[in-house]
Amino acid sequence: MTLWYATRVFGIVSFVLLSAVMTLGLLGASRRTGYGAALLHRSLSLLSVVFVALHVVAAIGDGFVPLAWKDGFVPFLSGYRPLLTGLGTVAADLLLALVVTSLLRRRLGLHAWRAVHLLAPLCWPVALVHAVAIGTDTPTPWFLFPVSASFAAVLAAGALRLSGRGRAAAPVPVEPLKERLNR
Amino acid sequence: MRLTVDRIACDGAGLCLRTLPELLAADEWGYPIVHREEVPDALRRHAKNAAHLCPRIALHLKD
Amino acid sequence: MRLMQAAAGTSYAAHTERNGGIRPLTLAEVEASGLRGRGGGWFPTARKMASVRGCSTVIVNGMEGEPLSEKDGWLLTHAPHLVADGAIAAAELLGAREIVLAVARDGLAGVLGPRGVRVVRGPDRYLSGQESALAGWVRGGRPVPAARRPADRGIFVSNAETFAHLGLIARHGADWFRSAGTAAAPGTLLLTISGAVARPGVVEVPVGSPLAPLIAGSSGAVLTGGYGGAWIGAQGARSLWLEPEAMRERGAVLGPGIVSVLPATVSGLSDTRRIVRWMAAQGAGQCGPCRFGLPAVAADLDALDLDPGALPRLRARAELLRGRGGCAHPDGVERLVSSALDVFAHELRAAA
Repeated sequence: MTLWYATRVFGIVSFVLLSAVMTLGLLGASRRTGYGAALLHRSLSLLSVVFVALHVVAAIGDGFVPLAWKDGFVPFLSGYRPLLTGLGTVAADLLLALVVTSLLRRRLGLHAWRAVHLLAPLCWPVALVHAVAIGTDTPTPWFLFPVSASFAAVLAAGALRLSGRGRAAAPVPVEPLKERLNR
Repeated sequence: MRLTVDRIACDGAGLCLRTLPELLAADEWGYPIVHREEVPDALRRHAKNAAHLCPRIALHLKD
Repeated sequence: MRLMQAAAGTSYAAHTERNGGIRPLTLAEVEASGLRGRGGGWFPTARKMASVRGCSTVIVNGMEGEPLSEKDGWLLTHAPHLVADGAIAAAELLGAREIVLAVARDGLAGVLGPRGVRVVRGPDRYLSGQESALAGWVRGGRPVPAARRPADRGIFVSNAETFAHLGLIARHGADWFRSAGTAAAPGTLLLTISGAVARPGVVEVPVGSPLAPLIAGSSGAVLTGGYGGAWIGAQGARSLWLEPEAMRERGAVLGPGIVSVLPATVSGLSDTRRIVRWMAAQGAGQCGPCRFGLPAVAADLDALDLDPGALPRLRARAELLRGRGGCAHPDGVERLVSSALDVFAHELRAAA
């Protein structure tokens, strides 16, 4: 039974992390964030891969529901709720593709990286449907709170992104070079 | 380590300007001015990050 | 003079009768000749040839994007076979399978097709003749400058006049080529003279010749090197030698051999405004300096009479055009503007 709890916890954490990555990505694309946020986007996406992996391993390893190892990679063929589980698999596969192509983007070139990253906005809603529809904790506060907060953050960032490709109030002004000491 | 900007790929996103303010400044439209090409050792990590994070893969480093 | 003497029109028979046949060229011979590109850069041709890895294509640049230049048009009308000779010799030297002549007008396919030269007509824009843009659109892409150099794509591009000289070197040898011109820049060059002069047109002179006799009788300031070149004051111009380094030291530009004398009735600043507006419109729009810098500089030039803040703003913005573009287009405009502010300073003072 412990693994089943772990599966759900890892699932919720994964979703929160994925939402944070998505929010930062949207804010970055509308040029409202800088270096720190970009680094955070990268670190959190790596972290979310870890938690998704833990979530998948726990779900399959637990044996509580009939899931095979292949269901972690190939969607819609599982013994347990194939459609909803499959959505989770799709989101996980997309996440993996996004992260791998991002790590290799300088070698792959801008166009290949962009082509995959265009699918990024698909990953999150798919994960959301998977979480809400399959989550056995759906009505509980410790599911509702993080998931709603994450949902709101992504929506807000999405609205900002769609409201136009704005630069921040002013670009970094022409001024003498700043010195950053003791880094 | 030498820093160069692919001026055709660059679209003035400005991430590099915030990552390496010791080496780069912005013109009035947000495009980089390279004041120093040579990256000091203390900034190597930040330079590599800037090159990796540039949305247009326009920042290049050469050892 | 050499090129003009060799010119025999479009008939191949007349060309071979006048000039005889060519022998194969070696890279060593091109290097010994000291030939430097006549497209504006004056880059050593042998060095450029050596920099091409795995050459598959030779492109003759006959685009002549500089509006004040007529020499390549002249060459392709009066000595197309000489240009083709040079291109064929270069292709054999480099092992290229394909020879392309890029032009902005029609009419040469019939003449040069039979000699194995594919004639392609390109967009009539200033940057269509920029080397990487040229290599790009000849290969089916967009006619805009690219980060990847033609040499890295196995393409050797050079100006039509450069190939014409190669055609002569292939007949008469490197020592012969060096017997005219200067040690640093041997040979002759074609010069397009225009503006308020008695005899406008294309002339051929040895490199290092004095400019004054060629514009004798005229008295205005001179635009050297074309729209992307530099203005020189009336007096300074008449003591110039037509040699790339000598001109650069005096703040002038030899470039693709363009010299244009300003008429007395025309204001230098207004002519510069016209040119800069045109150059801004000709940008590829790929880099910051072209998209934003050039139009801003054009606007500042227009505002010089009305706005006292325009001049310092103009100088600062022009400075930022240098070395920050996707190609040398913004650099050319900076040179033109800076030289205009210098040479036509009296017009600025008059307006103030």
